[in-house]
Amino acid sequence: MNVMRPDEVRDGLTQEEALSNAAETEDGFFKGPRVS
Amino acid sequence: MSLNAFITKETLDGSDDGPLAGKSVAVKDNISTEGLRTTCGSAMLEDYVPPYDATVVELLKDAGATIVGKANMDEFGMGTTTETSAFGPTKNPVDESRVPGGSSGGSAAAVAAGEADLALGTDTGGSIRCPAAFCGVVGIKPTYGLVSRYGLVAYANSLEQIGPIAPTVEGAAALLDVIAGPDDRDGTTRDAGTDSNYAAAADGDVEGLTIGVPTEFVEGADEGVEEAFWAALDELEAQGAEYREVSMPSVEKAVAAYYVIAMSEASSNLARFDGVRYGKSGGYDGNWNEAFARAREDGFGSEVKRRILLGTYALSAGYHDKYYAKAQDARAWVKQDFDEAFEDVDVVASPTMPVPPFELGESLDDPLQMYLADANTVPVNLANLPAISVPAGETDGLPVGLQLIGPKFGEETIVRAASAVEN
Repeated sequence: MNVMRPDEVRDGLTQEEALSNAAETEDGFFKGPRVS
Repeated sequence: MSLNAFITKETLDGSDDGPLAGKSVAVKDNISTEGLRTTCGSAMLEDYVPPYDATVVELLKDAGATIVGKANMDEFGMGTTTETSAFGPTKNPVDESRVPGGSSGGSAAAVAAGEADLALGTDTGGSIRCPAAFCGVVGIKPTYGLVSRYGLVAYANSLEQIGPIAPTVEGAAALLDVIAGPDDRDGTTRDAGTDSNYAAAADGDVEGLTIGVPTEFVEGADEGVEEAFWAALDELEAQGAEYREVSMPSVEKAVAAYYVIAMSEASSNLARFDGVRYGKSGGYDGNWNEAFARAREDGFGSEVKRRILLGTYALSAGYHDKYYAKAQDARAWVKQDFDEAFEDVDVVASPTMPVPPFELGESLDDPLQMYLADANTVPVNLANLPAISVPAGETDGLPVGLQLIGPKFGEETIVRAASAVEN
């Protein structure tokens, strides 16, 4: 049997904070070079 | 003349009272400080400003400490001299033509020169104990899992711990009391350290303490270092401790095993510095691989590149069993040797560093010489044990450190033994 507690929601970084050091962003995402 | 102990000098005030009220603390620049740039001594992170505080920084502020700046360090902790920093070397305040040791060289130099009352360093293979020894101050590498690594920029996760540097054993122990304890944001922390009082253990009482001295740790040390080491042991004996030789044959493989494991972990950890998620992008044209390679070529120094390349090689298909798996076997052997030693003795002693502080520039061209200087400190990280470096005299006017290693979560024992060395 699988016994797990319910999720506990906690504060994390906002999207803006998480992207604050990115060189380039677009629509709330990291923007990087094309893959190939 | 400035020692260049700080990469960023800025003051962050803590709460009004607490055990560290009125104390100034230097924080190594690989420990995240919200709103204050955290460079890891690398051009790659020259402009990186963390959006949150490391757990240890929150604890410092809550304890009333004033953070006075981010201390210089070897780039990403990769060095034994603080010369691989992209922000220039730090000078040893005892002799400015010498290195302060590393990688937490800025932290130790700041404390030794009185530019901070206390400091936080990090120790992956000796990076707290080495600069403490070279600058003539006290440094503690805690048991793995005693201090939260949340907010520490990772180099080699399975080896590293954050720890204190201070002018005295009691001061270092009191700072450890503030930062020790479990943290639900670092799953490797344990319950140990809750409501600790390591500072109270600095009572200098070594009556009946047994000290093991592995011959492997003393052979080959510089003559003046060896003399200071034996003089410190004789002094402890005069205070009621006894010492005996023990054998730890595994430690001869420790440096090789350590560098394979540390570099392998580094090669994986440092993959995040791609110029997109973290690090300077340089804005290069081309596809992901091309832009990523150019950003890393520009952003990393040569020692960091060397370790990423060697670590990637050691983990690659076909070589993994030959290097990484063998290193893990050696690690288990080192741990076993320590377990056996602690059946007979309370602490294990050695010179912290087999040599006095290098002259500035002396070891840069010879990475192997730099790696071998870590021979006495890396076994402790491989075995996840606590160790302290305490000043034990001088050779030719340069500080010598005595290393005392304890069993797992035996911080009180090493604090007590080290405090007797100060008597």
